[in-house]
Order: sequence, then C-alpha cells, then structure tokens
Amino acid sequence: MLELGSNPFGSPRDEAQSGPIPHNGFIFCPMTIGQPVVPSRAVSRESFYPLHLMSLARRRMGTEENKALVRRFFRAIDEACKEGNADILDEFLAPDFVEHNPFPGIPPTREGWKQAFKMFVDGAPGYHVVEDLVAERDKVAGRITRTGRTKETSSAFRERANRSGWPGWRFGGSNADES
Amino acid sequence: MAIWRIKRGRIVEHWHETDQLGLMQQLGRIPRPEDRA
Repeated sequence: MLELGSNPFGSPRDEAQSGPIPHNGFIFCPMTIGQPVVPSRAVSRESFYPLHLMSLARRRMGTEENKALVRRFFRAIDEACKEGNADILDEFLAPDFVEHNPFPGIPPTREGWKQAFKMFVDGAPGYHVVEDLVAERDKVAGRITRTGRTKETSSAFRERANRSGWPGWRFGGSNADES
Repeated sequence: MAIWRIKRGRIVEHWHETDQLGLMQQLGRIPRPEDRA
C-alpha cells in the first residue's frame, strides 16, 4: 500500500493520530483504487506544505521587521533633530518615496520631507512618541504623538510656514499668538 | 494617525492625518468649546 504516513518534510504531526495524511483530493492506492478517501482530519494547507509555511513565517517576520523599521525611523529623526541632519531620511525613505498628504507648498517627495524636517527642526524641535503600531503585509499603521516647543527665534520657521500657507493658520511670535 | 508602506527595508509611501484642530487649540489659534462659554 502507498505509505503516506511519513512526511519527508517533517511537518509536525500528532503521533497518536498517525495515519495517512488526509489529502484534499483523492488518494489512489491499490486497496481503494477508484474510490475517494474522505479526509478524516483536516490538515491545513500550511502544515501540509512546509514551503508555504515558511513563506507565511517569513511574511509574519516581515511585519515585525517593518514595525521595527518605523521605530528606528522615529528614533533616528529625533536624534537627527538635535543636529538638524536631514540626510538621515535617505536611510529610511526610498528614492521614489511618495507622500500622499504633503504639507501645502512642500513637494510630495523625499526632498519635500527633508524640507519639512528642517522646518520643524528650526521652528519647533521636539520628539515623537510611538503610541501604537499595527502591521499587515507591507504596511504599518501607527498612532504617533509629536511634542515640540516653538522657539522665540524661529523667524525662518514662521516665514516658511506662513509662505507654505498651511490652511487656516499662521505662525506668529514666540507662542504663535500674533498673526 | 499614519500608514507607511515598506519595500525592501525602506519606506516607499506615507499617508497621515494630523490632529490639526487639536494643534490649533493648543496654540490658541482656535478656541476650545469650553472657552466659548
């Protein structure tokens, strides 16, 4: 009889329930030729096909790596904020990076991000707190709080921000109260 | 709230929605509802 009990890939199986691995189609063997063998126990595609299992594991690892990348990203930009080094963004943003919600007047590109970064470093240096990160496939979603303090001597920031025309508001003096 | 799409270890797309109203209220540019009373 065709021995299907031994799995060359060593897929984890409960020895107490050992028997032929149920197949999701028909199993043909001399004893049951022509008759379908109804699977007695469902075996998921993942455990039956070790290569598929590996790709699932890799995908899961990918989401963890992506979340770690986002955490590193914020650590790096908070660190770079101290020296105002916008080139750190090259390590984290791809050359063809696309910003879907750009600040008004700032290009939706990696260069635009560098401009915005400098604007915030000049105007309201601070830091980020990663409150939550959730990842699936190639995306990471996050809830981020940014804390910053407007500087008294931030005329460059005020000029740039006002010129960029952020809807509905302008940066004034030290506490942004004057128009 | 932000979403990043990551490809080959780098961010390729970014969407975000900032709490602009909250920021404006903190800066005193827009009064909070309780300030109106």
